Amino acid sequence: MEGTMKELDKLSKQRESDLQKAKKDGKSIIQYTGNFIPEEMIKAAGAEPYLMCRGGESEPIDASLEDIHRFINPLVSSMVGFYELGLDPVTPISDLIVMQQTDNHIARISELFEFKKLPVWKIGVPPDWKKKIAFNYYIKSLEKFKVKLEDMTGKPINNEIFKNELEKTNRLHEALRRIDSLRKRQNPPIGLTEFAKLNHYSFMVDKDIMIEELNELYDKLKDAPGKFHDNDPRILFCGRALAIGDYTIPRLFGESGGIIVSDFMDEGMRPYRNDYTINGEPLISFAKTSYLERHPISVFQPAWEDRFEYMKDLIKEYDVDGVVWYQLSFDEIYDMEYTVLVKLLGELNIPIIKIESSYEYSKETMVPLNTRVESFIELLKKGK
Amino acid sequence: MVELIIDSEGKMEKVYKQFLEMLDFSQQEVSQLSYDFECATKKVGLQPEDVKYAMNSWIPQNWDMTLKGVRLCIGVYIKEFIDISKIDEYKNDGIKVIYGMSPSQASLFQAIKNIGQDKVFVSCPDFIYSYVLGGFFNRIDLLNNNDENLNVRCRHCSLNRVRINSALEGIIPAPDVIWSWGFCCDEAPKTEEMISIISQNKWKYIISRMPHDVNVGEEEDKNKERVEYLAEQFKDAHSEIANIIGIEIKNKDMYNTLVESSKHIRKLDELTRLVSNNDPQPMGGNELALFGTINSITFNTGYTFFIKALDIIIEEVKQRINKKVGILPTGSPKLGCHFTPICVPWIERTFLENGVSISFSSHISYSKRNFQPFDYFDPYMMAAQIWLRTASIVNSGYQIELISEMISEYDVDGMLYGFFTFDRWLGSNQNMILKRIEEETGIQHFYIEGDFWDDTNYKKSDRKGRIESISYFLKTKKLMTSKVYADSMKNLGEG
Repeated sequence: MEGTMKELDKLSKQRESDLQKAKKDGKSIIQYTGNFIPEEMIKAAGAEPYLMCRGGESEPIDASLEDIHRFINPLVSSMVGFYELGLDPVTPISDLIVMQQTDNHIARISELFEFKKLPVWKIGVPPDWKKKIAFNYYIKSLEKFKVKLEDMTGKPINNEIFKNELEKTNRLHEALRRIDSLRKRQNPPIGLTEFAKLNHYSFMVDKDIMIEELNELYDKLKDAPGKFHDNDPRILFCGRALAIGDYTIPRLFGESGGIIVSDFMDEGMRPYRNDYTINGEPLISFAKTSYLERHPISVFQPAWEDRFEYMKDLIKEYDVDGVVWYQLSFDEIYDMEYTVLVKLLGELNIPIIKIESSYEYSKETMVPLNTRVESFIELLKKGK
Repeated sequence: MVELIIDSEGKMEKVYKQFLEMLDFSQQEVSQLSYDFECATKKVGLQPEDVKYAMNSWIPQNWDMTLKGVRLCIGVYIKEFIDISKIDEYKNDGIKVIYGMSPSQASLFQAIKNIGQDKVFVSCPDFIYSYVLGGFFNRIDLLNNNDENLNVRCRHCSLNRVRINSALEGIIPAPDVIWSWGFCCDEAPKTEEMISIISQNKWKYIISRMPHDVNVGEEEDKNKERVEYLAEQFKDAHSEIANIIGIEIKNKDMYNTLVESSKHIRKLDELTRLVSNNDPQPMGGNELALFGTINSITFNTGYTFFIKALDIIIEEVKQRINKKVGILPTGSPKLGCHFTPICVPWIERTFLENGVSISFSSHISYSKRNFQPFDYFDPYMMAAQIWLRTASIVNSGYQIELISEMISEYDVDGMLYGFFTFDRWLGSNQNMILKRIEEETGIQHFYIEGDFWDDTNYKKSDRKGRIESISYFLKTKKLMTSKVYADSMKNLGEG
């Protein structure tokens, strides 16, 4: 596995220089912020998509404080922080930064980018997803984005290519699912850190190469021995986002004797469990799957009971002993969902721990964090 | 000082009557309401000692009780506070109960009350409890001290916490429906979902949402598509409410309510301009903000008392202006405020003690743009346009424009921000906008991190220190720009 990860890491890191080259060759560079924005349509327009989802470092958050107050979650603060510190090579060359307007955090950061004269484009994602007018609103927003892309590239988007790109994403999801299925083993050959990285690489590396690499990796892993200890507690890892570069907490659980066997995140990971249902207009197919068919993100409403049912399925399917709620600091909606989960999981006697992160991983923060994680693992071990 | 009568059971029953008398309730009202008031206070955990303290210390210290209009207006809140405590009885009598929330537009809720009359109860209990307990009793802690549901470290909104705690403890009974507006923050509508799940679906709610996806600087009220979408959300909600309570709201009802509401706005605007644009300032910012609620929440007890209080205060303020009576001497610096923190009234009092007054609150004040004619005849489209012209609601760029307009229309020496830090929409952009408004207007802006609803997250001495330094700065600046100072400097130069 190590060889594949190194190779993918190398390819992933090349992405930024590839974009510089593409820019010189006259291609448009389009950054986007999440799963409600069709990277496949960007590709179909002949532009280069790039996911803006870096995290795990505290300095960018400090850099954002001049403009935005400290009660904004660190993932979105990082977006502006990396740029301010000159550590974001893509934003300055981006022709468009497409930001999905799912909640207040991202909405305010989008405005800050606009004040900084960056080319922001907003996709409206209404949280009241069960209403027909809300879905139509989302579709309209995507259609406007489509027109914008066509204006930028000077040619209409080829629906065949768009459809092919969606199908390719489905194949990528399938490859990720195969690897994910190995985590159902009593002692899996792969943990969350590697699995999250595979997800992250998949946003950077050419999809055809990525699918091939993932399938090869599966072949290598399917008969490989487990990398953990037998009977270590099995964990479901949930929360808002596992950003690119934010691997400290999953690693900590692995080092403390836990196995993260499943994940349920709203951002940073591909929605690999759900394929696009492709029929007819690809934009509508994308919208339907992303907005109506997947499990609602936390800020959607209603969402939490639906999400809890889904978590219960995951707990059963992956034989989970306990849940880690990975929460970004000051992420108020996830904090509320945690309260609800404590009640609902409590009724099932499933232990849950909340780990809050401001991306500050200094020694002072890590010592108490280690203790909490170790105590939780001990608790799970006793319960097994 | 009020002498307390302690009866054989140790109750201080007279204090409730005296409290109501302090607020100019008629003797008939006092006899009718004092027991209900006692019950209402007990329902939220207020002890007779708390009522006594409020009457003898907190209210006189923090509110200008020499003004009849202020006494009556506080009385309006107390009447609603009493009424809210009877919701269970109303439900038993078959009255349908609708809750609103803040921020929202009162007219959309008032239309339901206007049609339903006595068959429907419409109010905003969490808001009233927060205003009454915080502003008049200094006891918001009674409903805001349970961190079990909303983790204190995450910086949640106290108003939502009060709603959750009160709902789960049965202090606020479950309504037939609460209409929760998610046009600003995400937390308020999600609060309903949380209460609903924890209470096993006893808390019925409907939500209305709209993404914040316009470009910075866009005049949202001029964006027809946006106005239409918002109007559609309003109509949808009214239609859902009609299904639940069996009361249909027609266009003409909405229109009539908007006409009624526009009259309130005109009066409030007159008061704001009288208070803010006269030197000496005739009344404080807390008192002014007290009247601002008239356009943001619906009172089940009606607007009659509110309008009476508003008419009286306008007359009283005019009298003070004529007599050159002010809360501070002529020439004292004035601050405009982005959300005057009236639930933490000692903030303004401390400013006053330091020689600075707070005048208009940008959340409840209007610029000329707010009085422009509507582009539509449909009352829901009108309501949507009103909402999309509200400075605190819209995108940051438009907000800068609207607040800058207000600053140009009101006479202030500085602007004060920072009391909505817990709100990821209303508060999170304040750093971002204040330096831009400062550039636009040339008026100095200040920031105090605080909490509109509850000051317990902050150390009072720190806040006082900050107020002192802002006041010192403003006074020095004012002095340096005054004619007296210029003349004396000139004399020094000649000397």
